[in-house]
Amino acid sequence: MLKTIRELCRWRDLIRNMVLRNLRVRYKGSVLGFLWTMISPLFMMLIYFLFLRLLRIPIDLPELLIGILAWTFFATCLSDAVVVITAAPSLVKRTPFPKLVMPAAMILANLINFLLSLLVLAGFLAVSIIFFGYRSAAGWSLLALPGVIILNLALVAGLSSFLACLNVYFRDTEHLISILLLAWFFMTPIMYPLERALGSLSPALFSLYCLNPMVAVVSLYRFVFLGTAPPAAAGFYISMAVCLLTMVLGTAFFLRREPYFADEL
Amino acid sequence: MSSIRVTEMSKKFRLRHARGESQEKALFRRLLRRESRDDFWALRDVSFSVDPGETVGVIGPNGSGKSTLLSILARTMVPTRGTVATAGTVSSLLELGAGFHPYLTGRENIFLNGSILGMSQKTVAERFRGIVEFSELGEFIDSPLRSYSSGMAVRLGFSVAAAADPDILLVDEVLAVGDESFQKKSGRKMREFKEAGKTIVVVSHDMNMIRSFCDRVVYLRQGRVVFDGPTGDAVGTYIRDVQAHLAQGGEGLKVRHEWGDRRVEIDGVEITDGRGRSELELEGGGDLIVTVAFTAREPVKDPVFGFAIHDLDHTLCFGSNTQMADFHIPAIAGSGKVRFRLRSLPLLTGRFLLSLSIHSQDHLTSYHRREFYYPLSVVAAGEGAGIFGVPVEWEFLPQPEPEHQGS
Repeated sequence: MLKTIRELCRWRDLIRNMVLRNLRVRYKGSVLGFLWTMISPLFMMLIYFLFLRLLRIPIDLPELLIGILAWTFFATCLSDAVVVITAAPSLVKRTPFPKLVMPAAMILANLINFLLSLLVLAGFLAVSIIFFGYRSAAGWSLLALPGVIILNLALVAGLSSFLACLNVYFRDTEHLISILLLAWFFMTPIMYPLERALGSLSPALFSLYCLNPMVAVVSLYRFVFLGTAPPAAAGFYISMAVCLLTMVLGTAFFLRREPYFADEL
Repeated sequence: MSSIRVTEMSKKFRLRHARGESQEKALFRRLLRRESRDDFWALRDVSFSVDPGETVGVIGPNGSGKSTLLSILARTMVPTRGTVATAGTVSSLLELGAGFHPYLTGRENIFLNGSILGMSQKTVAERFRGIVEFSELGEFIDSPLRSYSSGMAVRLGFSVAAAADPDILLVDEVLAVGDESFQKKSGRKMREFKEAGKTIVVVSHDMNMIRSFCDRVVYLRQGRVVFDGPTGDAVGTYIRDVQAHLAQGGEGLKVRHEWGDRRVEIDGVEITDGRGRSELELEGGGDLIVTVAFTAREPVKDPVFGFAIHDLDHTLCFGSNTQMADFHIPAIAGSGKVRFRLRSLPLLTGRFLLSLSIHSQDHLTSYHRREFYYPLSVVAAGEGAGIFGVPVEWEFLPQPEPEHQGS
């Protein structure tokens, strides 16, 4: 693990340049450019909100926005990850840098977008509190943000390296991932509050539901920004363990198969 | 101590789908890690070493494992068996402009490409001026890459790679990039590397280049080293092998070499003499008519059709293309034919190889190229020795009377 981190540090200039490339390329040629990172979650929030109103599913706007932002980061990483190796055969076959750099740079680029979108969230919360009398119990909980982000990153890093590698061997991964993400979306409390899942699932099913690490991640973001109750301790520790385990196993799988990528592409 | 030491190294490839195997079967086989009967050894028990400062050429017919060897030396592939040890930093000119992105400017691409090649941000910044100067891009350096011609992009790629300054340099036929003047320049750069005492391993089909550039040659055939020694002997052995293959009827011609992105593909070729007869032996001094049937998978603008005739030593005897002849073909799509007629071919008796090529106007994209592909046999009645003969008229000029010295 340490060796891997040291290796990535050695190639930090490459990671930096790849992150810059990803960010530059994403917004080149669009008029609003970087602003899209901030505008699109707001619109998504409004659209979801209107439909959820029609369906009479009650959800708090800030809660919804937090869910959307966390999910967008997660889902973008996973769908980018699946092609991060297969889309660049010449880099893999002809240039000898550690290929873990590729998913790492992709995740960091998405992380920067995510952090910027958190600024939107902060602005939105400020407006809600000042002008609409919204009450947020956030305070000291904000200090937990870095920890939550690290947990989130661990999960994303593990899954991304796993998927990136898997797609080298089974190209079907690319197609399966969008279906998987759709199901995952509904299994995560984004369009509904966590209490609703708690209310409609039997205790046994609910603990199963909590095995989904994104449940903890989204709830933790809500805890950080809104001060809502964090997930129950047991479920939380399990999720944390799942996140860390995912990172260790995912990167280990990637590193084990990496020497053979060039044979397969 | 050697720069590169390869010891009993073998590389096995597992084919994704064996011949006649269904997708599902292949998947199960791979899940069960069963060997496929079509797994093949690209390299077998290869051993050789390269001393510091040596320039070693790797030659061999297509599919002999040259590129695999380079990939393993570059450490993008791992050997199945055996070991490879390198001393010093290795840089490869295997992929020019790795990671170039069309939306980024030349400047941004230099930093990206440089870091892919293992240079630090600081190093690239220090060498930046030199890179731009060498690439001859001038103020274009701040325009996005997509506004570049393909020649400019290749020049930029070479310039960054050349700035990497490694101890060991791996080269894969990339010397033939860009236009003629840049080719000369990149060739000079390679010689500079050589004179600076870098260890160089170069893969090429160009025997003239190998002859003039390499100190030693490793000749690979079917994944094995069949010769390792002085350049002249290796090239000689290789050419003799080629000739032996030709003598066996030209089928299974192993120097035959084809590549290209196949946007336009050569479907068939008809070679006849001036009277339209498909003779095995052409008459020296007669006409040669070649009809090339092609299929363009997508509309292609300004294609260039070309040909070359080499002798068995791979010396170019004659070559031309539609561009040189100012015969412009605006665009092609679907199937078609192109025919050219060489009038009074002045070749002397011997065996030759015809190469055909369909490529882009800037010579940077090969659609389909078949090199040393079609054997030609010429029988000439004419006198003389050499490759070509022309009618010779001798004259005996009577000696003028010696002039008397004036008194």
